[in-house]
Amino acid sequence: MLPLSLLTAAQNKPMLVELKNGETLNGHLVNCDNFMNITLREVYQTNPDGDRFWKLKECYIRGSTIKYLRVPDTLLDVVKEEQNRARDMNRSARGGHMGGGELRVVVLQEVVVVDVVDLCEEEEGAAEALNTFSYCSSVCFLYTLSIAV
Amino acid sequence: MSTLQGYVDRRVLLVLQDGRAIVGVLAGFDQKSNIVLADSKERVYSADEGVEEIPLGLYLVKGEMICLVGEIDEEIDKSVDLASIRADPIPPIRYG
Repeated sequence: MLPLSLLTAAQNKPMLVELKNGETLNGHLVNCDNFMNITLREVYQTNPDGDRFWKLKECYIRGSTIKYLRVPDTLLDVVKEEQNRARDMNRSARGGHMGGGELRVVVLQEVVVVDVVDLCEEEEGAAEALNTFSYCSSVCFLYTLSIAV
Repeated sequence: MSTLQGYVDRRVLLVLQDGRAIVGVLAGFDQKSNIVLADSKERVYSADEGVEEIPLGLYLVKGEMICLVGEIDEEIDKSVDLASIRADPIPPIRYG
């Protein structure tokens, strides 16, 4: 996951920014760019010793002055989810045809023990089934019999 | 080409230019070595008290600030009693 996709997803979320000089800024992210320049709103600024505070309505921070950003933990899952969805969309777009398909999944463990045929209406469903199977078995052999007409 | 790809989803130690040591799971990085650290904790070393671990959560650290990224051997790390370790903190980098 790219750091900048996390930052982009943090729009309107609260965050803490520490600058290289030790100052910290707490506020909600308004916008950011590829240089990591950011604008925050409703900002609480502290000096490097943490004993003086200022409140700012809005501020702009040059990306190069930032040491790190602390963002809400929940964002990680949000971004991962988004990326998965984008990947799936991409896959089905490249697949082209949207007709029903048959996916055959053969699971091998030393010898062939299971032979599962999963019939899927949608190509997306097939991809999902494939994902599930490759997750639950470490050694498995997958192939597509026919992805339809 | 050197890359951090092999460290993704592993527990790593970051040492920053200001001397901070942060451990966390490397969730992502980019060409500038900006790093996303999940579930991160700062380890604060001191000469007369045990190591204190301060939870920090999800962090995005600027590449310019990073001195070192090291993979942590979880087995060894677990076997270490942080409370018994006495060590001076790493001083920040000084220029000039």
